[in-house]
Amino acid sequence: MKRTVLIALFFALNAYVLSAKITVLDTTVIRFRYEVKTVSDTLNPTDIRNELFLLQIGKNVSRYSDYKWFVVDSASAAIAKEINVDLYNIDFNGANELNLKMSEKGYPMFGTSYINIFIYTSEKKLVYIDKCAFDRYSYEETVEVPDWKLFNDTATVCGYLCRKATARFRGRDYEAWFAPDIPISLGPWKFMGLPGIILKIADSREHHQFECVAIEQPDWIDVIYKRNNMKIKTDRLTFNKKRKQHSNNPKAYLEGHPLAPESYKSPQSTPVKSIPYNPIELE
Amino acid sequence: MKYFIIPLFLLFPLFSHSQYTVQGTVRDAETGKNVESAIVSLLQGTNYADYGMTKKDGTFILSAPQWNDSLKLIITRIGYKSQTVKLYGNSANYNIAIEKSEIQLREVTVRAAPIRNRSDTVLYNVGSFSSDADRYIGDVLKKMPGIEVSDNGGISYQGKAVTHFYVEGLDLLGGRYGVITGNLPHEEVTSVQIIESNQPLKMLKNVIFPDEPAINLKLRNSNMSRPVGTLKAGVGNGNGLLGLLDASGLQYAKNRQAASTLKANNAGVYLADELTTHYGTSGGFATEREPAAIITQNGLISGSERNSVMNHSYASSLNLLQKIDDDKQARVNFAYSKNKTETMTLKHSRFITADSLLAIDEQEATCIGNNNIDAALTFTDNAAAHFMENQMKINTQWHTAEADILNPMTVDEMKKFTGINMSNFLKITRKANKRYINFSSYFRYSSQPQSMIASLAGDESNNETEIKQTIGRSNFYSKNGSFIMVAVSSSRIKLNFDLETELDGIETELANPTFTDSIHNNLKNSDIRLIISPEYGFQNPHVRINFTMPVVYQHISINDRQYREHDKFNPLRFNPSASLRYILNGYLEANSRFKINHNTGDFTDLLQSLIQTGYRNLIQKSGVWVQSQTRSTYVAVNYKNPIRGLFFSINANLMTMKFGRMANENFSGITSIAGSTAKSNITVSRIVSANISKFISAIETTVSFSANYSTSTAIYGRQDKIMPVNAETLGASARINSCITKNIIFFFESYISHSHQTANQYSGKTSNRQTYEKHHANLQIFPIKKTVLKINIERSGTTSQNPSTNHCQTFLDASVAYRPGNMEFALDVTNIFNLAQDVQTSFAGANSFSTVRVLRGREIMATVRLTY
Repeated sequence: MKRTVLIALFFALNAYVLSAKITVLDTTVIRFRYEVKTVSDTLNPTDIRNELFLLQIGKNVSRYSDYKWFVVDSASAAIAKEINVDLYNIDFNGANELNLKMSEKGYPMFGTSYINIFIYTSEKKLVYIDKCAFDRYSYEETVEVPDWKLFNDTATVCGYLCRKATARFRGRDYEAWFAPDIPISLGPWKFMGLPGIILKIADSREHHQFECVAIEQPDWIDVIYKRNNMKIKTDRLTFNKKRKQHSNNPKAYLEGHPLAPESYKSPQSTPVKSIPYNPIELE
Repeated sequence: MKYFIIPLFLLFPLFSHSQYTVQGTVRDAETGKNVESAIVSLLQGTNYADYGMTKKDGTFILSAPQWNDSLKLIITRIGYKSQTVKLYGNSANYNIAIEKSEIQLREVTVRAAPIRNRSDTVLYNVGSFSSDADRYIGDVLKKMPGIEVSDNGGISYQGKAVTHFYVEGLDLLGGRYGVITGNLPHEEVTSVQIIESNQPLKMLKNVIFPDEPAINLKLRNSNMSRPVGTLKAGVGNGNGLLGLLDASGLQYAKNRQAASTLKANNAGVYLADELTTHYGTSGGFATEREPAAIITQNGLISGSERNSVMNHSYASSLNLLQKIDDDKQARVNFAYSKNKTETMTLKHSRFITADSLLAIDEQEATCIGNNNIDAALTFTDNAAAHFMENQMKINTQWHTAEADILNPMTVDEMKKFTGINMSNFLKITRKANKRYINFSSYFRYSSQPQSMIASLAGDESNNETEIKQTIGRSNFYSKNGSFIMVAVSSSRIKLNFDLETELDGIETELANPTFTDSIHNNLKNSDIRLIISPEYGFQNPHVRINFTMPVVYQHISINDRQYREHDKFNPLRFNPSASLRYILNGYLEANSRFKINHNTGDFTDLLQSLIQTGYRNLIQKSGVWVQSQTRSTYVAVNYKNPIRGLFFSINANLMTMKFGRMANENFSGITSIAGSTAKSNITVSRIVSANISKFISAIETTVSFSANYSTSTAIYGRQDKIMPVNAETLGASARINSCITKNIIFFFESYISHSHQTANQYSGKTSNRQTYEKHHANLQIFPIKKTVLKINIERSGTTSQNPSTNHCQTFLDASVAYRPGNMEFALDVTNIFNLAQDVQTSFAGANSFSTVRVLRGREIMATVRLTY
């Protein structure tokens, strides 16, 4: 039943993606859902943030994004169609009705992460989209394959026999488990380059853990799309630097920003506490 | 086409004379086109010698350190059949065609992690603990490690009682959470959250971290468009016709929550537990100094006694919560319960006196009726800068206990109690910068008329003797207080002022032919307490310290119209307390508390009178305050590792109680006269308990072990002679809840305790040793689809040394149910062995009580249930 509802939602979404606000990049061949556990605050290692991410593999493009946002997009498209409103030219009343319907049907209103990673396999290109404070940023980089060391150790992850590989990547040491039976040389986040899909990977301090919890082969047209909303173009190191600056001193970072909270604007206001910062990329 | 991977050693071919290189092209067997992004693996046995991906033109190049017969090339690509290519020693160029095929993957969905941790919240995934055998969320809570559910439905986490029970962040039931745990289908709940340090006031979040856990249920659909619940009806046969009717409906919408139940049965299902309020004074509204009944009723039935009562139980509740905005909410709670229970018992009581032994045998047929109506209206405004809450509450209860006793004389005893409580509690707190100012006001009026009438007909002349005790009691209590708190950095200083006023009136009249005149007393009392309580608190992520020093000035004025005129006294008391919580990390923490409390006892002690509470029980009120001091030291260590599903707690409590008077019981024939003597008394009790529970997700099993050891030393007076009594108890229990396979679900619980009591009589020591054991096994099998077979075995027994007894009994129940869709048709047979009686022995203060109860016998019941 749940699957039928989801399929209906995806069909509805497909109808909408023809709109100019979204660009369709590919069609999903296989989808993997990953449970991502993150320790944001190294001083409090038991405070673990749990998120669910979706990796859609297409023929030429793959997309890694927050599963909750994916459900929000799909559900809002279906409900918009049901109540006959244009999702991209929506007025206040329409938005209110849409939100009410979403809430009534128990769908989430927001996702948790703005990360979107598109990998263009043939072009060896990776496009990374994320938010820092109030702004969306986008940068491109050439895919970087970790220097994997393969081992004979085996484990079963998500019902598949996996083999172990280790590598150092962007300042952290990782242990990965890949499934040779699924010949896709990709994985969650920016991980790739093994002779099988990476189903489980964690850094040595277990601050960033990814584990596959579902594998699906869509029997409906599940599109891989990119939103055409405004993003500030940047590069990887500059974006990471901005994230660090924002976390260390949110008030200073947002100084002069039109969306900064009123309390930040007053010079007499109390200092804003730093946000715990434990990025996955240390280099 | 491009490589993703360029093996490093390819860059240095000249230095590797024996290196074996293999290269080639991969193309589509059907179209002949080159295949990009195929994974090409060069394997030596099962080891990877090299691997890579084909470029856009389908080419690849791989190498191994040297040629080996076991080298093979495997080409894989999603949408193509995997192909293995035999290799030759020479480095040839391979042209490989691969065939298209359907993608055939095993679709898999792995269940979410059973337990997770986020800051001070532990999240249990309900799907990981539930099975087809469970119906309601209460069934699943029992399987979660770290969470304990008591027989009456009270929930504790790591040994601490939960102080709030929320559903989607709202507390609908105000402590009567059995309505949720016993009626909300577990499928509606996605996760159970334990908030370890729950601060219900928004303005005090991150300011005060109470060491009080709360539960929050996250629902599958937090905005239900229709209610969920069950309808159940049943009919059966036992000693007579049996009937059962259950209806429940719960609805959780974004701004409104509602829960209502309507239940009735005479099938041995005791309904009062579901409506029990589990919050203590910390979680709910103040109930301190609530007047207690003097003529006590044998009301509530404990779990082990249910088979021995014939019942007519009715219960209904109606609960509504309306959220007005993000901060404000209004709540209405109504509960009514009526229980009429009939029991037949044979009691053998042994009372050890300082120099002799008194044995009393009684046969009793009792009929107890308990009626309770509770209604409350609560308004809460819980904002970031202010808090206001007002609760109006009315509680009415009326109980009767009628007993026909054979002793060997015939006694008809009737006890009646009517209680009316009306209260209002207002709390206001405001925040101004770092200062918090509070005002609270609590008023309560209680009226408790109660009576006991016993007709004794058993002497040779066969004359009937009547004893009649009536008590009229009214009480007005108010507590008005205020606090000012300043929170700076990690510290806070709080100054509490409270003014308590209590006006009591009690009128007693006893007509007993043993005493020539009726005994009448009329006492009025006013008790005013001024409490000033400075408090200091400190907290950082690792340490939380709290120190309080209440100073209590009390003005007591008595007007005893019978024996003395106005009497006054003004005690001054100090009740310091300190607590320390050390959080080593997210896994391990330690708590310690020290408290000294001085008390002036109950005002009914000021009566100078005899009160007859039963046909052979008299209380001798001495007319003086029983002042007491309680000193308690508590230490606990808690460990939790949610990811591994492991929870451990150990705690020790040392309590020393000093009483200004010593309890004394004199026997005149079989009549007991309980009073006190002027001697002071010290009671010391030491309790150590440990609990460990672990969830093993691979076999879906929760295993728990707990052990406790307690000793106590007390002095009792019996026949005006002192008799020290020592008691020690060692108990251990084990519990396994396992989903052996999807079709077999097994539960086993075993509890064994050994107790030893020693009383120092003049003639020497008398000791009792007793071993009690109880084993409970429940097996649920799903032999065919939609059908469940349940077998329940309970075995309990007691072996005691003095008096020497050894008895045990085994109960067997079985049921079969068919569950098509939302329906369930069930047939239950209880007490299959048709046991006629149940024997229990207990000890209290060197006295022993052996009770034989007549059981309900074999019963059969057919029920239909609809879950909607």
